[in-house]
Amino acid sequence: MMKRRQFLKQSLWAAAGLGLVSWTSRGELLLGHGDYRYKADLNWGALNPQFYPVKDCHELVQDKQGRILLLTNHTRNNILIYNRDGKLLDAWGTEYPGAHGLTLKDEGGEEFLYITDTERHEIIKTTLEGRVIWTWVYPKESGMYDAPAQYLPTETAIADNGDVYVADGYGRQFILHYNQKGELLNVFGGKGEGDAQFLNAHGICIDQRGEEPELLITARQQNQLKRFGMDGTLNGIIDLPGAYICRPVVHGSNVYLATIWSGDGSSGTGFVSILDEHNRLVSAPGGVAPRYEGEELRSMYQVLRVFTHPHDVCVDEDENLYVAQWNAEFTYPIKLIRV
Amino acid sequence: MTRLFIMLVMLGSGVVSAQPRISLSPPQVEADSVFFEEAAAVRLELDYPGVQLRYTLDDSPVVPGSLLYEGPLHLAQTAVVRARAFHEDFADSPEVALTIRSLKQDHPVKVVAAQPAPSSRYSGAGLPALTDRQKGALNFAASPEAWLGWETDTLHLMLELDTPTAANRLTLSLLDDAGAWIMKPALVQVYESGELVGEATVSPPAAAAPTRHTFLEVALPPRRYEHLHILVCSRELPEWHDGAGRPAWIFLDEIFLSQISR
Repeated sequence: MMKRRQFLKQSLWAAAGLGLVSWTSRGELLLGHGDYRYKADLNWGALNPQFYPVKDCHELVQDKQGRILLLTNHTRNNILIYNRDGKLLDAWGTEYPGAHGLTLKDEGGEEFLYITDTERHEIIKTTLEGRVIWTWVYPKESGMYDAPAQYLPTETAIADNGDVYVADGYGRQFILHYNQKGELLNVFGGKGEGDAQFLNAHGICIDQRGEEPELLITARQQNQLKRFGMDGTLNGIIDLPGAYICRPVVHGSNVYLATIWSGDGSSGTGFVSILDEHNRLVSAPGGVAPRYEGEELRSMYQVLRVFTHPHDVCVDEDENLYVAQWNAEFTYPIKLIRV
Repeated sequence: MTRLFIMLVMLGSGVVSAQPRISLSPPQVEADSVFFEEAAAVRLELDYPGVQLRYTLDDSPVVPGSLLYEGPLHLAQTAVVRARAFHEDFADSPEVALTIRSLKQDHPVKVVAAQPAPSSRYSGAGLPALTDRQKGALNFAASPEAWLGWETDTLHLMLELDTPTAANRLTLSLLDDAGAWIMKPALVQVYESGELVGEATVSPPAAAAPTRHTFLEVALPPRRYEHLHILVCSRELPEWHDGAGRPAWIFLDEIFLSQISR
């Protein structure tokens, strides 16, 4: 009897793995491909919008207590803090109308948040409770900017030595490298179609999977993830045709990327992209199954209307995903539970 | 054991129904050439297990009984390909449409002036882009060379042919993207030597529609033409739109002058 039960269970999951089953017995939608498949909890972070409203849900991070911190540009509560079950634990923040990028860094045992604000044209470092440590204005000293309005920073990445890399993704698309004192050390990138330039340098992170740390920077409009040395030297380009990728998030040997649009870039066409240790797309929850011909990935597109403009993905210790969405009719994040 | 058995039976019979708000995405529609001389091949795809794709070629809505897609469509005439995806576990996809256009009856034409000039942000490859037979992408930012955009209430375009040529229809190839404040114009008038020779009016849209390519055709008296003046009046953004009251953008990628056989 035991063997029979095990066989049935294995058969069910084998069918799911092949994409032959779309739903679990409990009516949960199954998404993704290969070893990276998920049950979708579409109501995970839902709250009463009269008390805790959101506009765009831009980014998510997890702190070492396991809490999930969401950044929204609604100034009633720019930060919403959830537990992993989607229960609201805390909320703060009323002064970030252009809240866009959220990065968390453990600095000597204490965790800090780095917020980019595209309306204030500033980077703000805070504690997890929202106390402001410092605020950096536009990088006039770079010689690349004449006015704050040209600077629309979308993301930061923080190195272990405290250096801060800022992606000016909606502005002039430079990558600005500072030390923790706010001294500008380097500027590279900029808007353009060259290999080391960007059309929408939207997201940035530090990739420590290899022997030397690298910067992964999205060129969203180009459907490319670009690899740079920490000194700003281009190391390589990963083509993800059809995938308008927002921010790279490295977890274990994988890179996760919320993909805000796909295909021809029409509204409402996003999914989530998951790369393996070789930076090949291995799963696309909500999207078509990844397929390579040699080194070339087929052009990706959405197959199910589960997501509306995914803007960021956070990966917890069990490799569940939390997906924040831009311009999604004021909805809260979706959780994907790994199966 | 019993629970597992029921679960498998339910899965096999499709009793486990989709949550109603999850629908399939529209099929991908690709033509080897949207504008073609002899024939075009159109491919439909939504690569997901159990999906059926259905289509029409006569501009009628796609329903569950429409033609089943079984391979590339080889088309020799201008056609509107409309398609949807169906799956027993999901809501039907929204419809997608692609117009492919035969160039057999078109004449070479030049746009020699535009007043005002296109917006500096959307000036494409200049006025020659309007007659180069290159289709702009649905996402206009993905093919910036092809699209010319104007934020104006009236646009004047001057057309010229090398020699007087018989024609009876003028067609504008446009983008309709309400979310980006781009709409089909409200009125197009065609003048020859100051005489109004044709016009087309467009009703205001009742609600936002998906982004789409669209054509606006103006019938002309059948005769020979050498110089034409086109007046394009933009749509005022409707009350339901965020930009209500302001002129919608005009996005144009091609202009055709044709002799259509009746």
